[in-house]
Amino acid sequence: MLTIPCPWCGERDVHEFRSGGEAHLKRERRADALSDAEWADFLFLRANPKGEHAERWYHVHGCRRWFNAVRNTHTDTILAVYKPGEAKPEAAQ
Amino acid sequence: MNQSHRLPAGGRIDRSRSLSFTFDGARYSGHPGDTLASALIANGVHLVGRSFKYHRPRGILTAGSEEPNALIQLGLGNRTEPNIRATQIELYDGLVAASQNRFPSLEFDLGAVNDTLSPLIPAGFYYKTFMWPQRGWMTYERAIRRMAGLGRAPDGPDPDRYEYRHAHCDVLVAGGGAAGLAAALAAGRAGARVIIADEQAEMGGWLLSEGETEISAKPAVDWVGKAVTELAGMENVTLLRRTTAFGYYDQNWLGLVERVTDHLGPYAADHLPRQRLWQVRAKQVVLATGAIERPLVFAQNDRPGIMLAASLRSYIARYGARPGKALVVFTNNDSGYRTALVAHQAGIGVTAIIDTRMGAVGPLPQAARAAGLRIYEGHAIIATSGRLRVDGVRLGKLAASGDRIEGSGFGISCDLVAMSGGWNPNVSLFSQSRGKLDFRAEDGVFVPGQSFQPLRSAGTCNGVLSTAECLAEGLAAGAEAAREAGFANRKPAGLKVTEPECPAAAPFWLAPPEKPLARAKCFVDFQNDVTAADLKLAVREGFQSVEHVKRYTTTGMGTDQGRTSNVNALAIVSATLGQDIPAVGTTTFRPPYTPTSFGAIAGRNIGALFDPVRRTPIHDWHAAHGAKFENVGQWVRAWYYPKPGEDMHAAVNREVKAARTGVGILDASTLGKIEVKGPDAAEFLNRVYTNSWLKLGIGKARYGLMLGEDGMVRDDGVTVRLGEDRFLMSTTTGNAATVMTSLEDYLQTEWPELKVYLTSVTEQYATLTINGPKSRELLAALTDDIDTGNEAFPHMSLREGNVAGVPARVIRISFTGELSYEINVRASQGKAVWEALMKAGEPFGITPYGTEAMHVLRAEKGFIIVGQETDGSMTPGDLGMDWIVSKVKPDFVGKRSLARSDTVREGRKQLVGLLTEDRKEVLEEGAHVVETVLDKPPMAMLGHVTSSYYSPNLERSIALAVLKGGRSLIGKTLSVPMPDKVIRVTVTEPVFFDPKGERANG
Amino acid sequence: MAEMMQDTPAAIAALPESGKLILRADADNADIRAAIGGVLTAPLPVEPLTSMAGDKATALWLGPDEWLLLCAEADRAGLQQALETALASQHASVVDVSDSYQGFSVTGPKAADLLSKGCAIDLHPVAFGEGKVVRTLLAKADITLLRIEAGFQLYVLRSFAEYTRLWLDDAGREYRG
Repeated sequence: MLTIPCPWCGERDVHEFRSGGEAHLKRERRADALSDAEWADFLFLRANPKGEHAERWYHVHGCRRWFNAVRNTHTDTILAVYKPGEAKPEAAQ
Repeated sequence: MNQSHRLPAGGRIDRSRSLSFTFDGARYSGHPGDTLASALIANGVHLVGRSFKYHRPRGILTAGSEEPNALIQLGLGNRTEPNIRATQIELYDGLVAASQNRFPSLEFDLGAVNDTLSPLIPAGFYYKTFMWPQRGWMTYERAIRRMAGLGRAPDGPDPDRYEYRHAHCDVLVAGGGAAGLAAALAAGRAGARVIIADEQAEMGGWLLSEGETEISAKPAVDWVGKAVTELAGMENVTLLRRTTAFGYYDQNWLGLVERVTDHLGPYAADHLPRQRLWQVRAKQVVLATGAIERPLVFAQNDRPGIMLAASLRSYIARYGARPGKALVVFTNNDSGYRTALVAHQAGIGVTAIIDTRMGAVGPLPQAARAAGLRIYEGHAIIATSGRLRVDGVRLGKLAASGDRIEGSGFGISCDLVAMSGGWNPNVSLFSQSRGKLDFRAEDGVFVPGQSFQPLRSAGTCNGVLSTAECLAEGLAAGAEAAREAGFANRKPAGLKVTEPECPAAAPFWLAPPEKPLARAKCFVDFQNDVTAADLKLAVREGFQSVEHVKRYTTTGMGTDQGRTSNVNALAIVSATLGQDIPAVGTTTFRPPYTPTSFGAIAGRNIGALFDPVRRTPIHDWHAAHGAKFENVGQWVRAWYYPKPGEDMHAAVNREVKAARTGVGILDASTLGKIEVKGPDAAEFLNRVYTNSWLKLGIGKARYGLMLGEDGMVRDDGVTVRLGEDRFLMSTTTGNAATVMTSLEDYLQTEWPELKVYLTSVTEQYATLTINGPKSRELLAALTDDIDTGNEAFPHMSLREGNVAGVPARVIRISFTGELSYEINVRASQGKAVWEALMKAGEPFGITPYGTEAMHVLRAEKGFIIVGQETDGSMTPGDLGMDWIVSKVKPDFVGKRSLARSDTVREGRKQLVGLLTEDRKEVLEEGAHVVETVLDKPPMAMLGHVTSSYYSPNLERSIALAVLKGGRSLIGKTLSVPMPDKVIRVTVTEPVFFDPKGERANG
Repeated sequence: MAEMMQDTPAAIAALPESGKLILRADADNADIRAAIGGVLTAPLPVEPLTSMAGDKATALWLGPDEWLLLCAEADRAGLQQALETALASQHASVVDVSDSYQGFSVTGPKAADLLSKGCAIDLHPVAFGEGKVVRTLLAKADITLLRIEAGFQLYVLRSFAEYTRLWLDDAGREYRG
């Protein structure tokens, strides 16, 4: 079973977290200006890489904070975690 | 005592006490320290089971958990358990065991006809034979399962307790033999938190069976005793006996199952669990899982009385049992000689040592020669005989190539055969941990290669063979693991070991049989009855991948996961393909290492502890007043309150009528409640709801609809403004947690600039809804500081004051279309206030109503329930709720999606009402609505019924439905086809009662 | 409730009614910290997973901007009032959740073993010393877990109290031999 290092609480079992999907998607507040295709891209289209992937996680059974993690989807290892608003670190160790 | 095959002395059994047990109804005795297998052997019982497919008589092959043959039905009644390895069952007084897979008896088994027919049922027989007709498989399978069965499962519930235990440690040591104990000592002495687990009752592993080995000039068992005592004395060490590390998962998370009371049988104390599932998170792991002796593959190598050589030593040295009187040893390496010498010293006649090699010169072969034992060099067993027990072997001289016999064979009588094909490192857990295996060609073994997780292997599981190497590797691994976990320590001092020298030897994969291979029955996988001929057949039939051969022949697919067979099978497949073993590859081991009971995996998550049952603060009142309950997620809510003689229909009709004519009272405490606080609270609500919130007055309430970013309705509820920067939001019961998660998401990640704090107060308040024309009078009767007048306290507003003497927030809102108040009081006061309302409501005929009546009342008004009228694909427009969507706000969650081509297209499903032609006919929720009825499906469907009830106020059935282009169908007559009839319905507006909404404002 | 004598290996007890407030505020703001610290008579615990006991209240870190304040029932209203006054000019939230949570204590030498049957957190004293606090799961219930001298206190949502009580009682069976 995976553990995830919460930026605040430290290593915790994955059971305590909820996945929030791909990170760094920008929600456009003036979305009226976007075409249907652009909006659909934001809504529905997600990266699904084999390898490094920046993801959102929520520590629902802990400090209830959202944060980001870079996970290698192939080895299922977490390479880095960082707080919302922070840039994706150079994760690969 | 009739332990005819017990040696006069020796062994780690307590001869001062006798234990009585039965096997297949016959009574036997043994001693504490015995396993069922050793006790049976001490009683001269070798035949313990019938094989899976051919029903061949089978005996005890091993002395450990790798046993493929001796699978036993243990215990009686609901405690009976099938397929337990006799080699792992510790004997207790009164133990009841039975053999499996035989009828009518073990000695005379009708299924044994399969053995005679075996040339007709080779590998793949079932696939080839039972394919046609396809549906026939259902019948065939039942018959095949009966024939090729293992034990039987109990019929009733398991009476035992099973528990979980989470644990953390610096170093987990899997295996308590020489290497494991040494590793635990080194790590423990360094101060690390250590857990050491061993599957046996006693720590020590093979050292318990090796009387000739000395450590520090004392018998090895003395060192074991000292090591265990030292470990037990360390506070930082947890010793787990009878505990199998069965699964190695991500990030050094291991599953262990501790058999807490299995060895006590009926004498187990009630308060103890039968088994305990340990979930261990280890910083470092030391695998010291030992090695498993490799059987030799030769003709009819499966008869009772043929066992692994080291296991025979174990029965002699550890259990003081004598498995036979006339022993033949068949070996390709020096450790076979060791067994012969041990047996010889124990007084067992050694008839012959058959060595596949020429000129073995090690100290053990020399000792055997010196002892005068008969040795056949360069020979192999080519056939065996004996119906229920081996009574002789035939051997022949191997050609130099090793794959055929020169000249003619000859026979030797015996009642016991010990075979030794070398040692396979037990790499199951290493493989589970995603480690890579390396092949070592000189002795044909897989050893741990690169590991994926923080672990190290030590001892025979790492490919070494001597006790000295095991101890040295164990000490080093334990010390290194502790160091890696942050515990500095010095290199441990070595231990001096005296032991017989047994170097590794070149492997010998298949002894050429006297008969043609196809009829020779050279077993590779004993548990699944797979022979060398089956493997070769599979290759001939085109299977090349070892994974395919495995599945086609079922080799290695028994409950033992091919512990004794995989490497032999792989070698035979490789040879047949003409490839090297590493090129063919190995199979992957998967958890569990040995079969693990469902009970241990379920733990205490059963019965009342299966899932939390959430009750409201007023629950006890409902229960005391005869309420029927329904589950709403984890909540249980009062469903309806039948009076004596009432069925559900009558009770709900009465409750619904009361709520429209007098006063009803509902426990709405499960609704989600979130306090929203901060200078940007109104702006925040403005962004997450579709309507406008900036101008909501303090003390006013507003209904809100929450969408997903995709424009689909996700939640709804009423929010009140408590102050300039403070709101109390309510959510649906089922979505309370989801909404909280989503709102925190927006605040923390999307709009961190907004100054808003959220706090869930769902459980702080009991919410009591009084509803109906008399509700104002009732409220007035119980408050002295709230003006309940229609003007003073209008619809959609909040007042704070005392109700029934306690502080309350009263919100005038309505989910029924009637005059209605939601009274929120502290949860601890909820029941008292409810009782006060019931008492004060007596003159008005107050009627408690449950969730069913609530649903009818809101459906009469056409009010949606999120999750019932919506399914994640309904927009506000689809629900006829465009009125709540702001046209002027520049942004709210879901806004852009409401303009997507798909959400604005014609023909979306829309909410409508349905009225049946027969007023009494209540539609089924989920029923499909069609325009044209055909003889049979498929028919073009317009949509489905989302809610359907009998409305006592309208004295007819009503239903809500979502239909394609529903609003344009209003007035039309459609059909609802049911299995036995077609129901005609008229499409209407979705509001059936008080369409102008006058009653709630009255 | 299986209220047990204190000399049992693991004593389980439901805690009496008490005051509980959820405080949310920006811990990076020194003025806010000072205002809260003044009311609590102890510094606000800003280090994750820690708690701090003042004269009238104990503050438990729940998140970087969220604390659970425990106090006597009699002090509840006063504490809330005092905090709201002290934070009147700040962006902060103080919400009474006294009835939202039920507290339990699990004390005695086997307390950690008992909780470890359903809690995946390392409860060994070297990893979970006195005053440490976590929000986590106990079996299927969310808990706020606090290490105290004699063992542990845990707080569950009111509607999970019955499940938690049953679970603790069941888990304690082994120690009641």
